[in-house]
Amino acid sequence: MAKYGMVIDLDRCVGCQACMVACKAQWQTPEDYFRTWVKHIGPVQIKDEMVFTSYVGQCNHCDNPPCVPACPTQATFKDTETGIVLVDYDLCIGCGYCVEACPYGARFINPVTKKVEKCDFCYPRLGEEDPACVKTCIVSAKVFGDLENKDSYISKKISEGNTYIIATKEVNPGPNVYYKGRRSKIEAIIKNYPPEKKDTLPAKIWSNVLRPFVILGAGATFIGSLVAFLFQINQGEKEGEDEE
Amino acid sequence: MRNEILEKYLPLTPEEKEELKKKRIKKHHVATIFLHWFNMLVWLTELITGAALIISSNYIFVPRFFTKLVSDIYGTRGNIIRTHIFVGVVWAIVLILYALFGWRRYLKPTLKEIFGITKDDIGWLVSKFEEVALGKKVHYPPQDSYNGGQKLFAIVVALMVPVIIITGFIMAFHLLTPALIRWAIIIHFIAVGLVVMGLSVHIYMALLYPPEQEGLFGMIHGYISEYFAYHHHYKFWRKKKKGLDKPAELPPKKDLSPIKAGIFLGVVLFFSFYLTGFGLGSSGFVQRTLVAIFGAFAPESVKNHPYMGHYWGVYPLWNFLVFMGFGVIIGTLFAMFLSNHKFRFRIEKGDKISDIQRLIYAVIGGIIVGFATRIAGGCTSSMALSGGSVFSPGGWLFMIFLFVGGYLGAFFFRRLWK
Repeated sequence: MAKYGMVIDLDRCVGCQACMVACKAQWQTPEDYFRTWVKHIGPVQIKDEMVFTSYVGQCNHCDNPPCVPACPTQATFKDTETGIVLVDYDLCIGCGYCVEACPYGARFINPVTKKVEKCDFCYPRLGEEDPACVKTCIVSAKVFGDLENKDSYISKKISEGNTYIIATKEVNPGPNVYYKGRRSKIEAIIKNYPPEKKDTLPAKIWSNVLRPFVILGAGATFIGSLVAFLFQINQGEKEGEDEE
Repeated sequence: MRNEILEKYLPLTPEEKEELKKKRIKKHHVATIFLHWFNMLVWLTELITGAALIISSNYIFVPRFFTKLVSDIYGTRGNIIRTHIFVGVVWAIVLILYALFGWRRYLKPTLKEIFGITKDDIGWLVSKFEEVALGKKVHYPPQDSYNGGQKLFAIVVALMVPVIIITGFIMAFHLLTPALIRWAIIIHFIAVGLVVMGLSVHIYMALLYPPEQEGLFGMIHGYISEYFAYHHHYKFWRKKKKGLDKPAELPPKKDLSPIKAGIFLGVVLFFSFYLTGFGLGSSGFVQRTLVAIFGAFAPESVKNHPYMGHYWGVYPLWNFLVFMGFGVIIGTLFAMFLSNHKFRFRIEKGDKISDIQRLIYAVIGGIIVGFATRIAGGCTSSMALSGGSVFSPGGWLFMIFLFVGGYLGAFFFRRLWK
């Protein structure tokens, strides 16, 4: 058992976007699609500070990921061994409910494979080397490791203090990507890219209106048939003769 | 047998009852029986695998132990979805073939009957309701070969099956846009839900409800007793007795005039160029099929053959002309149905020669023409039609000499066609 996470030190990040390039080289995502991103924010005024920062983001591998229940076939699932939110490409039908559900916009439908894609902490490289973005970072702003192992470097980084998550009071799915740096930088990120709770229209209609109707209808006819059968047993067998 | 009961649904005398019980009447054709049980297997598999696929807490509609059980049976959940898609595609293909080839004989009459709801069908539903819910003793109005309840279920199925197939294909092959796939999921669920509602009544009626028992055996061997038919499907029985059940044979439609056909051919040719970048051709299909057949038996010698080897290396059947050849066959069958022709094998020939003679001449002619097309680089369709339409000099030359050769040949061989 492990729980992998990441710490991103915004005070170290220079916004060079090398992590985006490394990720793209690793996963060969189509043009204009990225599993990780660096968005430049600022200069903006947060309270009495002038902030200029980069929003280095990717899938947060949340503790309660909203994308997992949104997926009808559960192609998206939280791996119990590693805590990484993974996608089973056999099961993905490319509906994009999870894309809509993600508060961070970390997912996209790959226009070539027609299936969903997102950061998986370079799952195939796990145990061998760090994720591509971590390994390539010129200033070591990104740290990857096991959050449950108290001796790991990442745990020490977090226990140093000044760590934040991107969440609001309303939307907090328990992200496992932590941010370090001046507090005003995190506030600027949340102000510019607030995590949003979104419901998709078809899914809403299904769970609120149609599912009760379909389940009730199918259940009612089934129970109706059952009751009729029990009545029939009670009355004893009769031949179809006495219809006249 | 009294004549009145052929006109009106009357109570039977005990003798008539005995007489009718002895006689059997054909209810279902073997194709319908096959399709019915094939459908049952498909629905069983698809409902089980489909329900087991949906395990997310927002959508789940079966208990968890069931989804786990199915996952254990199939090994991985990937296998479940592959099975679901495979069976679904096979089902769709069988249904489409049934609809194509059985349109006139099975599907059209059935659809006509189930959508032709009459007062008697409504009456049956009302009577059934009164009997089951109110416990009244009722007398059912006379019914067609499907009663009111069966018609209602059949309408739901007939409307929902295409919806299920289309939404299923959209999901399975990630067609169109993700937004449409999202709706396809929901619509798939609703359509299946509607059919399942009818399904439990359908199964109860067939398996467990004694008065309908004979109908179940009718769906196994195709026959029901006349007594059952008289009581449950009076209108169907009367039609059978009067010999009105066979659809009237429509006379074949007249051929299109050559000028109109030529214009249509030109339009087809235009779209062939526009959509695929190729013209029409037919000898390539035959020739590539032959190469593939030879190659299946003797790949080495085909590969080394100076002529056939050229085609063997590049997947002989992966070619526009091959797909077009199959398209022509399917299109011809379509045209056959539309023009009320019947499917049958025949040898077209003149009156003076026998079938054998005709075949011998055809083989000899075929060898000559086949040889010639390969020298010319195409047959009449590809050289004259496709080549001529793009003003290829070779194509026009071919066309001119085709007619010259045709008239010369006709001078010698026309008596074969007299």
